[in-house]
Amino acid sequence: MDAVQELPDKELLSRHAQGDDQAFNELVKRHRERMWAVAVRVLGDPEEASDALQDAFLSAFRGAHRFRGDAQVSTWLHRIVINACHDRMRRKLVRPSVPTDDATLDVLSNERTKGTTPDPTGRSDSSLDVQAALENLPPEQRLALILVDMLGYRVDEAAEILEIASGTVKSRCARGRARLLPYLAHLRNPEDSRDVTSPRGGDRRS
Amino acid sequence: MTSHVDAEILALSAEGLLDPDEEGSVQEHLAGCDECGEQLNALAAVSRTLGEVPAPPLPADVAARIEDAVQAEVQHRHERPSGPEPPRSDGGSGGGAPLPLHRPKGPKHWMPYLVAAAAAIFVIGGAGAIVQGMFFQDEPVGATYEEAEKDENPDTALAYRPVMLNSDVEYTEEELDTQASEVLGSVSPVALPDALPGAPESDAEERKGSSHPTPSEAPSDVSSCVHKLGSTNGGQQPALIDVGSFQPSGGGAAEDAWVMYYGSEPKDEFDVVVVSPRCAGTGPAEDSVLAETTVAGP
Repeated sequence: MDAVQELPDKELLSRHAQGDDQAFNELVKRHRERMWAVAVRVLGDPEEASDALQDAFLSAFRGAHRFRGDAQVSTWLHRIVINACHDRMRRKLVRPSVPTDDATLDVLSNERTKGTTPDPTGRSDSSLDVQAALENLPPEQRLALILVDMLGYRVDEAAEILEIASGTVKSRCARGRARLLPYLAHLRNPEDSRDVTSPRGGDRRS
Repeated sequence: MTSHVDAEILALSAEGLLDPDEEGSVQEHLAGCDECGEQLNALAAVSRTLGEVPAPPLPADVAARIEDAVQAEVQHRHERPSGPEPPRSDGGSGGGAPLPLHRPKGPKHWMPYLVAAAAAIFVIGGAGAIVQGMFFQDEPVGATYEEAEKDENPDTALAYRPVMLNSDVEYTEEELDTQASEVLGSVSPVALPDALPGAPESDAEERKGSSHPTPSEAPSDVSSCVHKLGSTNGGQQPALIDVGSFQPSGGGAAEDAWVMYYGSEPKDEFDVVVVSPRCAGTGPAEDSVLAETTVAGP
């Protein structure tokens, strides 16, 4: 009667914990696209993201008994994926999350402006720019912005995933946006991009 | 001329996070300052720009790889000696059959009161919840698992089974020492009677709710992790294992973590090792160690 496809997430997880071999696979199918989007955003690298995603699903597979019924399965999975990403980052020590210095900014800006006319759609270019810009944020701000601004989660959803208060999500987003401003200004006004390395980034108080 | 409004202040204002006074002066300034108005638009544009980046679809080969990995894990679960056996009446079938923790030669690493505490472990679950409440008052206290030694499992009632705790304490790198001491304090029998004002047993039972099985013994991955760590520390066994989470310094989300307390008899001290659940995986055990410290016994 009840094909796995029709069972709610919690039931699937519970069946999995009790030894059902099909249940977990169905959960993976349901959530993998979303989890991929999270992982690839957080890590910024498809290679790393696919490793993290696999780590995360296996860890969920083994840790199903640790799931508490009071959260959504999807919330729980998000946490596991994010943790797996952090784990990857820590192990690779990809780069310290210190603010980018001016030299890096110059490089970014030069690469962007050298001999290219802005892509009218802004698509491919802006994806890379956004990813690069996000690297300049402290991890907790980046994470909040990825969930809320990039992936469109409501603040309360993000708060539950990150296990922090909604107000904290909002303030992390706000600070993150302010910090991204100098990096992303050119996407809005392509003709200004030359100014990105000038004190424009610091003119907030001028 | 008066200074412009800081972009961060503008962003906080847009989220409605400023106190009324501050908000008032921001609005006042905005009314007469085009530059800051423009800045505010630019902030909104940052959100839009982020939202416009298309999410790359999951590559088919990655999907296939994960499916294979899950399949292999299912297979693996079958191959474990008693993996697919029906779960014990108390549940805990989540990760297949636990690898028994090895019993060291003699009870010299064990604090006797921790052994005693094992008998009263249900009570400890409640204490753990209280510990969490102390540290994270603004967060809901989640259901706690009580990792009771069940009477009906005489075969597993080894003297050396570590006390399993699910304190739900969110350990942080900065506070690790304090938190570890608190947790140790919470399992000391001396502290027990007082640590349980109105021991919320029934509450815990209710909160646990749902049909999910409660693990009653060290999950197999914990056991194999202890085993692996043992091969690097001369076979020491932790006296207490707390399943909680850990937040490294410098921000970042907390992740699940197992906090192992190794007692040492000559000195009244505990070595505290925080490991990631990844410890149970294939990598070297040392790589999964997130933090270490030593604290005085309770």
